[in-house]
Amino acid sequence: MSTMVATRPRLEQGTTALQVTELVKEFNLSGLPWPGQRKTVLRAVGGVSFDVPQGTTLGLVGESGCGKSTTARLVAKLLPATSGRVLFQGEDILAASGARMRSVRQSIQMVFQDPFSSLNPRKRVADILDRPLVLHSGLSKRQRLERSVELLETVGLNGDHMVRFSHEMSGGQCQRVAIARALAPGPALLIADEPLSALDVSIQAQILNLLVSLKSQRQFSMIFISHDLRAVEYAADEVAVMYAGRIVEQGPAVETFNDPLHPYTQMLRAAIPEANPRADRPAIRMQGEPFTPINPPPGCCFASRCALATSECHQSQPPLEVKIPGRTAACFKV
Amino acid sequence: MVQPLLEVKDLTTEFVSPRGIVKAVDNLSFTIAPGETLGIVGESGSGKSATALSLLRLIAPPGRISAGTLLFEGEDLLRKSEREMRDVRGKSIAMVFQQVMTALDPVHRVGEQIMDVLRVHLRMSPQQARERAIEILGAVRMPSPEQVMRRFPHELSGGMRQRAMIAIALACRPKLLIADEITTALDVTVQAQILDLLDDIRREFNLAMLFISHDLAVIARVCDRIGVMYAGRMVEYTDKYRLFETNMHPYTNALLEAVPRRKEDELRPIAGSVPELSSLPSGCSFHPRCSRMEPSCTREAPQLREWEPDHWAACHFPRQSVPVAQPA
Amino acid sequence: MSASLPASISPSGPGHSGAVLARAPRARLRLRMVALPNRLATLGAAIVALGLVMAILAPVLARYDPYQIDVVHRLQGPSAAHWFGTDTLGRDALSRIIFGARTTFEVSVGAVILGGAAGIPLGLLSGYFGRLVDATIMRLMDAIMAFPGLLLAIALAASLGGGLVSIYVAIAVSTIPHYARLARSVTLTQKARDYVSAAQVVGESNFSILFREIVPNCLGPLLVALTLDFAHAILIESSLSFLGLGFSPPTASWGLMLREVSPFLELQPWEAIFPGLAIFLTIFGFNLLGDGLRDVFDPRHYEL
Repeated sequence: MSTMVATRPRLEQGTTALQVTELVKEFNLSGLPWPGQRKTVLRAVGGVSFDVPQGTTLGLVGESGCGKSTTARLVAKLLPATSGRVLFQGEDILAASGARMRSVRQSIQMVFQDPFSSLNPRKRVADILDRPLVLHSGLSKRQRLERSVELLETVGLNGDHMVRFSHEMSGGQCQRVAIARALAPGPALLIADEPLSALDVSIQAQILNLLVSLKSQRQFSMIFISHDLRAVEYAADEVAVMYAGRIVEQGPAVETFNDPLHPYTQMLRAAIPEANPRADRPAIRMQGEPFTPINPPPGCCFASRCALATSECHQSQPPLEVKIPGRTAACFKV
Repeated sequence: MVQPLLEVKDLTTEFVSPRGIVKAVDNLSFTIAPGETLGIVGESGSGKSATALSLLRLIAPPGRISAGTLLFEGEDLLRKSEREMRDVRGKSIAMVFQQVMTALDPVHRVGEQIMDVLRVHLRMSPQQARERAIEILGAVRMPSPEQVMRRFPHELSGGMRQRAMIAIALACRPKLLIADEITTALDVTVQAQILDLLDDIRREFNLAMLFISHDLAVIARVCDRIGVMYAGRMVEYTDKYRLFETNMHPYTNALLEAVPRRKEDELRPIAGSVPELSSLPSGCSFHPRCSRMEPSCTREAPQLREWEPDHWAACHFPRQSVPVAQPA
Repeated sequence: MSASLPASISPSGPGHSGAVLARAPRARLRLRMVALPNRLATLGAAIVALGLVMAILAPVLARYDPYQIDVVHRLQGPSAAHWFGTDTLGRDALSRIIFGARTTFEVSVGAVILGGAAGIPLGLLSGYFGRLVDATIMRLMDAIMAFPGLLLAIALAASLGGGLVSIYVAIAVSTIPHYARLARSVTLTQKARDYVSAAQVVGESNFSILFREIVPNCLGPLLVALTLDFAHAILIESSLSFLGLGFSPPTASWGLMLREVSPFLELQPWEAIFPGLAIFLTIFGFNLLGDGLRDVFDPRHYEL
């Protein structure tokens, strides 16, 4: 790969690219303090821990309000965390200074959900791709231009797209540009936050394939976030299922998809309609809706929707523990 | 054969844009029998939502319905006066949208909104309307209907709002329900509940439905017959089993192949992007992305033809022995 | 390119010529930016342009010296010699209106630039940094807004004494909160968009994000607001002058002209009609232009 930004030494396979420990994010919804006011806290991420081994993809899956996107933004340091630790290549980035963080930025890149919103509408593709190169590559203007075109070709576009604005491109093309921008600094970790959900069905597969093949070519690690269990299973090695700000199940993608342990994962799995008119109706009865953990209850957040729940589940929080070697779940009933 | 409830013939809906006239719906024909559910699947710009709005004559300028007939119970909706149309909307044909929060009136309680429909269309007394509203809320499996009557839309969760919308739509016991991407904004577990609900109410109300979605799997779950739209045209139209098992049009096939199923299966994306209606490719609109493309496809647009009994496709080379969409 | 991908993920299918597509829409866009989208906006632009020409070419256009007193021919009606008649001191009303355009444009441009230059950066900072910065700036703006705009301008003008600078300051201060709030709200809208997050992820500094990414996207709505505020400034200046707090006689100002003829309103109504019409038309023109610009900058115009 002659075209890659190869200035940063890569870690050996088998080491951990990212280690997240007890990450918590609370939003205070009560506004300015006022005497006698009750504090309302939204616990968007309630103590999440996971590792991303070098060169692998972790899928974060869950429904709206489960905290998967907040987790991504915490790891990318787009939001300050309330507590917890994020070790990136052994360095605690939550504690990193502003100057240090700007150089770490080079290694953690992100692709967002809405491809139109993630590109500045007043900038041409050339300008969008130039900025990360200006900041991180130390290349001359001409070299940066060449590199930008190479990046576009890497994501399946070409030099013709350099002069375009986002509104002159389709959603899929914009998402490709966003991916090219994320590749520009030569990241070691790519966070893809719902990169498919704003795209047409026929385009989703293009972008999914692109991300998977880029990952194997360039050997970065990836956090792939989606509400779509099928897409996560396809893209990820390991998957973490989130509900109400916590990880309820974690394990290898294929096993988790085929034989879910946690009742919530089972419900999620059963809820996916199959593209087969002869498929059976889901055997699991769906009830309730995912909720945003505002002043969360003491027990398991899923208990109110769970067919297996007992009084124990409503009283205390089940810990995330190993149920089968390599697979963990947070449930008393598994 | 039963008299169809709705018979759409050669419907064409145009929009005037700065780049010229754009056909959002181009020469579309289909029928819906009483109690039957027709699914329309398509991507952005396929014309599926414009079709839904056309049926209720809700196309606003600069758009207009430029041709076709819309026979509902044998009467042409396009010949009705605006006043008569208002009576059709909500009473005989009801519609549910994706954007529930904008479709519900934020300043009126859910109960009032249902009762309003009943009082306007069926001239019910407040007492009758109230009883009927509670009954309908129960029918859409709303937990504690009496309490929900007094709630404002913003006090309901996403799934409950969608139920409230369906309740308003069903209030006058319409014969046809148009559902436009109603589960798209919902979480999958809530979507599954709404799809179950649709099964139930279809049976209880003997309701015919036009169910519009971009998701073939959801369509497979809900519908009896399916039409696949691409760039304003119907490209395949048949019952659900034929569509999924012996489909003819390469686009239908490619759509099925482009959704991840199992990790082992290779994901075969459709090359290229969805065309803009203002600059459609010549001939068959799908030809630049098609695996079976032949020179004639660039010149001549294929007409929707009945290749087998009750199996229609608009393709010059339908279901050949070619496996499936090869990457372009 | 060593990293070639499977052809299946190439987005441009056969029959698509990228280069051609790339250029066509932009040319069209630029065209539309020049040719305003509707006739009313063009009319507005024409009115404003007319006023501007009057202001610039005043010495050439005016047939009389606007300050030349001719008591013998005072308070005359429209005639061939004096198209708009003469005022209380016998000065030619048309010439005074033409020179008044100068005053009007000077004041409105000066006040709008001053108000915008103070208000817009405050709003940008407030919207971008949020929290304490936002709270401090916006409470300050609330304090200013607690006074009705015109009343505040009157109070300021009265305390600063008459003259150009005090009018500038009076109008500017009373409009600062307006700009600050607008700039804050457009900044907040833009800040919530993912391209700002993307710039952060890439490692841009706050300064760079604010001025390279956000500001260019705020210019549209701000320009519209500035245009509409010319009208507002003209109105305030006229009001101040009318109340005797703006320009002092014998300056040619439309507001002042109205004040001077007000005692004779029943006697000689046309003396009030012409300056009044001038004020009305100019404000009308700026408003039409502003509304037209709003349409141009509306992102929906890019689509279709």
